[in-house]
Amino acid sequence: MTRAPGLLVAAFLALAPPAAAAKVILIVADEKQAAAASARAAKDVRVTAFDRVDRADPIEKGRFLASLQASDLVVSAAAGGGACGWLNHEVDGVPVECITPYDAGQVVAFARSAGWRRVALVHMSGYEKVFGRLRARARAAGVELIAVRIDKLRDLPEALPRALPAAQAVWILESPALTEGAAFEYLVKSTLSKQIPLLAPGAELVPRGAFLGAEGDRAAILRHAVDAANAASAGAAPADDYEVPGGRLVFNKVLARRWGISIPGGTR
Amino acid sequence: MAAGAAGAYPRTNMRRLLAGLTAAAVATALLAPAAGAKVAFTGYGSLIMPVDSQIQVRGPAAVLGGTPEGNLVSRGFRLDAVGLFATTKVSEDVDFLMDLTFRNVGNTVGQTRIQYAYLDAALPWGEARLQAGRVNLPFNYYNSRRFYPFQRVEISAPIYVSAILGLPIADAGAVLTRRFELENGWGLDARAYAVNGYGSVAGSTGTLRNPSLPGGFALSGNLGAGNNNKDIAFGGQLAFSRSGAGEVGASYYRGAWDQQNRRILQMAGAHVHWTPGEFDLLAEYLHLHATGDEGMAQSLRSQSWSTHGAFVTASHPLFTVRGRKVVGWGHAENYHTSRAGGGSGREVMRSFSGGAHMAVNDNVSVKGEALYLFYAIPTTTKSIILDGRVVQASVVITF
Repeated sequence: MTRAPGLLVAAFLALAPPAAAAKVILIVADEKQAAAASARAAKDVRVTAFDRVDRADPIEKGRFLASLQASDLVVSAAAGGGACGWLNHEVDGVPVECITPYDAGQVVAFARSAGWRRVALVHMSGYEKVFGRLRARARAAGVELIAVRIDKLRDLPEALPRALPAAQAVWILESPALTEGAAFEYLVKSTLSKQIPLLAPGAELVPRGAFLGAEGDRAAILRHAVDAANAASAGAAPADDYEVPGGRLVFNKVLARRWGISIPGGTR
Repeated sequence: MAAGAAGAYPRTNMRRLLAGLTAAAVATALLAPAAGAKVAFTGYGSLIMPVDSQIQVRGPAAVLGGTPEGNLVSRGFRLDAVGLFATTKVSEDVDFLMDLTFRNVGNTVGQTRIQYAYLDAALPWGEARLQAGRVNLPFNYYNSRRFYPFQRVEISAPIYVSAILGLPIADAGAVLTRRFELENGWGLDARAYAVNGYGSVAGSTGTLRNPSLPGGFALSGNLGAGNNNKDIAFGGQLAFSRSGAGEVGASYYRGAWDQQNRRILQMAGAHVHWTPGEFDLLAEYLHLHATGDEGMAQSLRSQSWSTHGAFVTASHPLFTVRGRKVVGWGHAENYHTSRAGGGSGREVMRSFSGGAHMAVNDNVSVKGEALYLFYAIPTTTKSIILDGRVVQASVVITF
């Protein structure tokens, strides 16, 4: 009898079927999105909220990375917080696919309609795959993207002036390092002084000096992310397009009027 | 009450339960191995610079060891600790975690420790988890969640619990945890553990603590690789918590520390962690009760002694520098140890400190601290007294 508790527990656990390994980890921005995504996620898709992970704590970071590195694919639909760049930097040996948090096709289409043929695309390291995808898409529309890859923010004042003479617009990819604080102010000042439109991820950046702010349809992005993760977990080949149609472009009418750029809806 | 006689039947059960749970965790892990499990390595380094450290030391030379009497002044740099965390998923719901910490790093390493190394497995009952291996004991809050320099705003950990009780309290055994969700976002975390437990001071069979300088004979040295007796120490913690509000909990530990299973160490603790907005307050109460300790009998004239004391640490952002918050904090602690039933002669420790902390980014934080310390413990001849003040700065790097 004295052996009963331990043996019972051991037998129960040993007989309990182990959970199958999650093949795909879907990263979303917060707990609210995680709850919505989990409800539709397939069995082999595990949903994690990016803002729940304390990345400054190496113990927590290690557990998070270990779980990511045990998967077959990481899909990030977490807009903001630099999730895409962080994941690409830190995750080793597992492909990371980032869903652009807005419809990049709209931005490319506008660039083409404005007659811009060369656009500098500023991004932090870790976004190389996203850049490659956007460059292919833009090239098909007749717009050439010039890479301005930044490893450290202090490289920005050197890298941007090199690209500006050839660029008709500057497009920045979502990364808090570029859209917050001194880096964004530098981007605004540099482009305004040369009358080069700044294309930014987020309508809130327009009042701060951007010419255009691209905003995605968050609900559609989340749905698309879950579908992409479910399909990948079912063995489908990785999607080659992690962009979601929809959303809107918000323009800076003052700049459009001053620079004589036609925008949808006019400048009045 | 002699634990050996009274506790034989339950302890046998306890050992078998522990062995069963451990075997079950290993079995669960082996049944579903992750294909090509990868190890994630992270870590930290902590550099401390005592800007001005002056400590008056008085006491009999025999118990001061190599420490001279007088005013000890120090200044310079010290690589306090470097830690490497290795984490891997053994299977979907089983992780293996390990911390290898190097302390007092110079040309050679003063101390190499495996702080913890355990399997962490989800059990098939609700939110239950089992940790088996060398585990951190869920005793109060600081031990498992503030111990590392990157987890706290202060440079110095609370002195009594770190230098005398010895943090982190980690031992070979198992911890069973289950969370019960309550209403309004509150939850109850129930944790129970069984470990080898504290033993006697190395080389002695009748001494749990020696009257000595803080850190000289911390109780953490009594946690060996194996069990020094047939007794399994056990304990647990109950803690109510809610995200954004904080946590309140109580902890307990009980185990025989001598080879005959007759001398008992009990610890009881209570903690409050209150986090309204950006304010953060942590208060911990500690009660120790030991019997049969011939070491402390030299100081307290009784083999049974008890310690009471508490610390409180509060922090709040003060201002920002280039968009980074500078967090100010204050800390106070007061502990005393006396023979059971009271009497003259007591160990006393008081400390007050304050300072500031700034996270430069996700990986680097800088800290400054001013600390006052008073410690006194009687011995057979005259008391050991430490009275000092320390101003120091620190850089903590995580990777």
